[in-house]
Amino acid sequence: MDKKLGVYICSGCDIGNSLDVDKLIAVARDEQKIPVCTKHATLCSAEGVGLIKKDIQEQGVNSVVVAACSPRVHFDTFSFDPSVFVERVNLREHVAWSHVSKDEDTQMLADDYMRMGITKATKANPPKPYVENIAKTVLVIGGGITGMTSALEAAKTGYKVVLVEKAPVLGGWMRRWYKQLPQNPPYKNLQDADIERTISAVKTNPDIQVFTSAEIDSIAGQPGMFDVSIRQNGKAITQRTGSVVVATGWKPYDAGKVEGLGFGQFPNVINNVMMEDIAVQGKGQIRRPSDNKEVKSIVFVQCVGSRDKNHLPYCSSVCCLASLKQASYVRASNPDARVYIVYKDMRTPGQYENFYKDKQADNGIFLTKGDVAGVAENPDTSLTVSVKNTLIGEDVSIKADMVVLATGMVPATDSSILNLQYRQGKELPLLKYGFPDSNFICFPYETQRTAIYAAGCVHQPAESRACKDDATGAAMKAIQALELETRGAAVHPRAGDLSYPIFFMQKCTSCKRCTEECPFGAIDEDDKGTPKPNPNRCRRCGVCMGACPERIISFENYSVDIVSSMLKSIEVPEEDEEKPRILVLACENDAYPAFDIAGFNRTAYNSNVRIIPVRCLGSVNIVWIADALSRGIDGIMLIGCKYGDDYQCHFVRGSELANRRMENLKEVLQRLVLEPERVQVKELAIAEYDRIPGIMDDFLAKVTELGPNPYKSF
Amino acid sequence: MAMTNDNKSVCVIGGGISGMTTAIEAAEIGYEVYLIEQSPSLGGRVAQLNQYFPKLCPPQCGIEINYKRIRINPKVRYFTLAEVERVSGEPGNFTVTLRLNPKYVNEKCTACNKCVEVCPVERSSSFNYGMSQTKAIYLPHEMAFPMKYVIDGTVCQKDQCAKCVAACPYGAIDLSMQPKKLDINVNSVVLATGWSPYDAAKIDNLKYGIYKNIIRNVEMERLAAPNGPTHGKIVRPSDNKEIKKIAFVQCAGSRDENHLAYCSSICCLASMKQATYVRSQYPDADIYIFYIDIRATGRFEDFFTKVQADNKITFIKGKVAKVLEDSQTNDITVVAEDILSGKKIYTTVDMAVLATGMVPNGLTAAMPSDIVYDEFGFAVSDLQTPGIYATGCAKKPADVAGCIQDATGTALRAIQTRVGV
Amino acid sequence: MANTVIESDLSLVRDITKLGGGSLKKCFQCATCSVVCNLSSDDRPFPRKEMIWAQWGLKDKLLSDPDVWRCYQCGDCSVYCPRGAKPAEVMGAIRNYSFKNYAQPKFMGTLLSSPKYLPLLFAVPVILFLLVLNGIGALSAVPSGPIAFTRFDNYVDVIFVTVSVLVLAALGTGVLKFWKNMDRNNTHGEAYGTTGIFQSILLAAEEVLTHRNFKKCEANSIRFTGHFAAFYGFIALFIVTSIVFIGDRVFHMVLPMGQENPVKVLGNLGAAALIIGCSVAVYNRTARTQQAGESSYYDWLFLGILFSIGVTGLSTELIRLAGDAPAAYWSYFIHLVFVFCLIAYFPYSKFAHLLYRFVAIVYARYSGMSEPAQAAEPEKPEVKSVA
Repeated sequence: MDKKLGVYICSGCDIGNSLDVDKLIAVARDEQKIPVCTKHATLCSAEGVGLIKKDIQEQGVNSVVVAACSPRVHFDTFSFDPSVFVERVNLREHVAWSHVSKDEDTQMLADDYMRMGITKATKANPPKPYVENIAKTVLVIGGGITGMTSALEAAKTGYKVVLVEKAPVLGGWMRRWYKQLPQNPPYKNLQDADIERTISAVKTNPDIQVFTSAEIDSIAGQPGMFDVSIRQNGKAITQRTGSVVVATGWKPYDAGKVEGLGFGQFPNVINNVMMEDIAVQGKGQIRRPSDNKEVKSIVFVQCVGSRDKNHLPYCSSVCCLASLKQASYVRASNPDARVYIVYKDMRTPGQYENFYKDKQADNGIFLTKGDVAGVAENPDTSLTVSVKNTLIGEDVSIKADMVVLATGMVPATDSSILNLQYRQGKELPLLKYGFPDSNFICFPYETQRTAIYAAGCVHQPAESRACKDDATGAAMKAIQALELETRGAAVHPRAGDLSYPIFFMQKCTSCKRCTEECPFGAIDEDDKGTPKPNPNRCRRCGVCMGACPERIISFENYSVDIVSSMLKSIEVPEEDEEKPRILVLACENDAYPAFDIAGFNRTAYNSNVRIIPVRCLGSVNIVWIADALSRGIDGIMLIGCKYGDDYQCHFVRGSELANRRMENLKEVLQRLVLEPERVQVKELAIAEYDRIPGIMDDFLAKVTELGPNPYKSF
Repeated sequence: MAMTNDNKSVCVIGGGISGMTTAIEAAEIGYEVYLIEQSPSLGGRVAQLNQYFPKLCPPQCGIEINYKRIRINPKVRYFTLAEVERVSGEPGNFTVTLRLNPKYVNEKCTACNKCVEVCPVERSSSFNYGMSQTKAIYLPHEMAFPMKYVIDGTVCQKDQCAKCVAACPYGAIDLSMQPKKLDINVNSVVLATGWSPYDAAKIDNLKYGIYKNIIRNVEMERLAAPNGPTHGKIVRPSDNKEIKKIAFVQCAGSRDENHLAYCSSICCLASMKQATYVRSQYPDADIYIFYIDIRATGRFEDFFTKVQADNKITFIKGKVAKVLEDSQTNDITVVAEDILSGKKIYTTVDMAVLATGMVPNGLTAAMPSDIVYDEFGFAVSDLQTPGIYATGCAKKPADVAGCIQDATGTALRAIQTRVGV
Repeated sequence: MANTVIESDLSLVRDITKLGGGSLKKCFQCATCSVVCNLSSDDRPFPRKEMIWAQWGLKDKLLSDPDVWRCYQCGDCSVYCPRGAKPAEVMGAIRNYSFKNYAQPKFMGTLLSSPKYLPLLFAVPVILFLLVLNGIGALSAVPSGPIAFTRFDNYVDVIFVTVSVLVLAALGTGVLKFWKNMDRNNTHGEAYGTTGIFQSILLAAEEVLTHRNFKKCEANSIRFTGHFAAFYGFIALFIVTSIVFIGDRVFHMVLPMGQENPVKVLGNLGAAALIIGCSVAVYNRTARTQQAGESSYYDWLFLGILFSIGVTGLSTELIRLAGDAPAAYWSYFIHLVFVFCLIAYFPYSKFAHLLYRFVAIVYARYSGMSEPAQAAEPEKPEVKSVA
């Protein structure tokens, strides 16, 4: 399709006061040779938008350059038919509001932005989606309360479910519980675990296909088209599913690893799971293992393994509630029984404070903060628990018939679960302590493996109510992934993006950088190392594009060439003009809006700076740096998100990769007799807009100190 | 005026993080969503935060992504400064009656700020919990969504003044704007009405509102935020003095039958987070956190471990139950029993921060059947009329990630509701 | 640190519940109580620690704790308690438990602990006095001549002196045990003995006489008023009774004294103060339960006896002045019954608090325990004039 550009310049909101708009028109019309070029005092008004629409209809304009405000505002005002490409030139926030008005440098800045915008509009096209036949089936792995809830909720929404459970029966841990925590107000009374009803609902649901005693042999393909091989009783069964919920749950921590508590050594020291078994077997009567004697005194030791840097550094969230629950088993079993609970902090958040309060009021339950120093066995197999740092004001010893260790939850991610046929590994990448959780507070389902979501205790330690909520959320995301894939659209965080990377294979050297660096394991490779892209696994960050030394990976509307051409369109003044040029490649989610807010606050920063938004710093190809330097640009700054343990990059490693690539670039620069300091990577959060002038000034000072780019005159 | 739908639609009441999430998640599946927010901007309480725990990242990053998701998704229609008056009908066919309160600024607003320059009237900024002033015409904050100015009708002198009308180059100001009614027809309704900070003045022994240098945690967020009243500089209210010593008072109202009998779940972590704010601005400041139980569940424990390891931050088990003020210096002395040593301690600080809890916001609108609240005022989602769901902090006190998980699940429940189901 | 072997006594919680501390299990150890209490010292704050000792059934700790007796049940702690655990009432119950426990013989403690023994308690003096009256033939005929209560002196003396000796012995053993227990469990140590025992007694007397700490009550300051009046009323009456007793028995003073006699004036004032004090207490305990907390049987029994002594004493005087001999004698009879109850049951009733509290305060001084902090009173903001 032939490109027909239209350039529309708004002079409202101080743009006209700050800049010579006619000069901008001259740039577009005379220099860039764009015949359709109009200015308007309020482009966002009905009249202004009408002008553009008229040109689209009457003149066949299919690429629109709107030179006005930031693309973050008036998005829908300047949205036209999907076939029309719209490029926004940010003259308001990034020029008029953040630079000296009627100034030569400000005008040069605006001229350059016009050139870059027109260049981009010339090169970029509206994306055509990658659409395949999507299987609207959700695979749920794990048949505990979480997995069953996910399955039921997905089925209820009208989707097919394949549920795979390792054990011969459904129900998971809940089947072993004697009672469960109160699920509804007033959050005081224990309830029957009532798991059988859920199991039968799953079994009788025509949309849920259940495989028990089954495990996943392999999952091949990509979201929407996963070929799942299930092994059941030695037989392999193949199913096609579109997305996956991982609900494999948890295991109790091995209390034997915690020294001095006598687990595995003294018969009457048990863990909290065994306590449920005792309650179930005794139908509520609590008898101690060594001699089946009725328990008259019992000590619960909290945080066994949990909150301990040598074992599980995290809190298992449920143990306080579980011990309070089990304390009431003992009290119901014997009204004269004494129950001691030794905790570090009593953690019963939210409305469960009521449950704590209720149990606390029981005359036979004794609670204290304290550190359990050890458990010793007495000749009659009873136990003595020594406790330090109590609320009583001194160390105490408690004699008890039995000791229950409130052991923590270990996520069940240690064995092979998914067996993904992905080049980057078979399982969900683990974040910390074996949890495959999202690293994001704002997006707890932001997974590193597209369309595969963890839920329940494998996701984070949680009580069953929270697990059910999580299960429903994960089911939602799994279904949503199917619907987005059906439209060929990306899932979060670029939800709805129809572009996807296209590989120009003829030039591929099989260097494997893209397959190694993709944060989402989207690209497989064959034996020769040739990449095999899987668009439905892709999150459209462009890290592969940034990685590729041969520049063969591009999106319709974002490519190495597009950005290269944009930066090459910057007019670099001669050395003697003493107008250095700085190129900023800014993360479009955080750094770019930060510049917008600086503009909104009328914060002035140096006008020698030119900003190009990038999808992620990870998409920055080294070629851009080379091109910019050879163009005579004096300094280049990459501004992106924080990286490291608490990384803030929504594409996991984008800013980290950029940093690493720039480190590698330093050597090359030195060989070219260019100072490595000309290229810098900076972390900037969206809220740190106040830092912008300082960062820019510092960098400019550095660059000025280095002197002009020696390649300027070439 | 009435809006209808293609029988696949959800009305979400509340445009905070929970409501936005439910709305966007449902819309990205393909459902029509109406998002109703009573204030002039989406974003809710999280937009007023400086950082999230435990990552200490700015909430604006995630909010920006969500704004973008809404911006590019025509399935989400949002109404700000809108209230729900009534919900009637049945699952799959609810009519939600909205009252669209006048903004006095129409769609032509470009956020150019000319109006603010001429407006002579000031109002207390609710965004900054009254710690700063805005003009009567204002933008809620620099990341407001929609990016439109709005006039506070309770203080604006309207036609008596009308300076803004003359100043606006775009004809965006309409001082004669009246409230409008709007009926929308939807399959299901989600209550994401969120929470309010507890009125700490009710805790009479903690002297909030009496001693100047006693503030609440929500105000501390504003003090630390770059777009707050002090541009992110944490100084004490009485004399803008820098902080050398500061105390955090946990369970200010929460876990207290005289106030909020439940645990607000987030305050321990919020105070630890705020301790890190102080720490990064004042490396030599001494920080004291007085608590009953530190509730850092799950992997939040890591954050507790990290904060605890800081030798300038001291945790003291014991609730602050008395505060004193030095009338000369306005310094605050907090009194607690250090339970583990069994002795009372008096800690004199420049400022004390009360970790006040969350009070659920109910909904006053008439509903097809009464909303079931628990004894604390949280809506009980499982007990509602089918087709009406509660989510986020309207349902239970929770951290941001917890709310979003819940809101995502609620989106699924909401789209399950069809006519006759 | 000492290592206590926990053998929680489930019955302790039940006992304390029965004695008026039923809310004790609600405490979750936040220590709001210790902080809002204006009487609680900095080094050994209470009642947080007493709450967990009571919850855990640590009887020995409670019985040897002087702080239990440094509480005047102002109720500030109960007002601010976030859990509704009412520490003030629990402390009161622990005190009740304490003197019941120190009581010798034990059965006397039991007799005073429940209303079901109340008739028996009163039957003892009534029968005793009736026997005396019967013995001197006063039952069949009202003694003639001017109304003179001294005619019963010999018999009354025998009874009261005997009872007093027994009571003093019982109190002595109890208090001695109490002192020893406090001493045994004292981990405080350092300043021990720097204040001599006599000085400690003086300091304690000063505290008791001035109600210096009691005055610090906030939530329930009316309690101070009632107690102060009743206390001084009682002291006045005690002094008057002592003067009369010695005056009569040793110096054969002419009785009854005239109304203008300073001793008489003191007696009348004392009676009025006692009655007013008791009335305030009754009002506080009935009309202001929110602030005052629930009252136990011990509270009512003691208050009832004290109130009755005041009322019957005054009515006896008034009837005597009116000249109605039979009524005057019977009124005196009833008065003596209540006086008997007060004295004879001293070690086992709430009256014992007078002694135990005093001893505890002496001990606190003697062992160097700190006073409540001076900073407890917030400074009033100073109003500066504009120059």
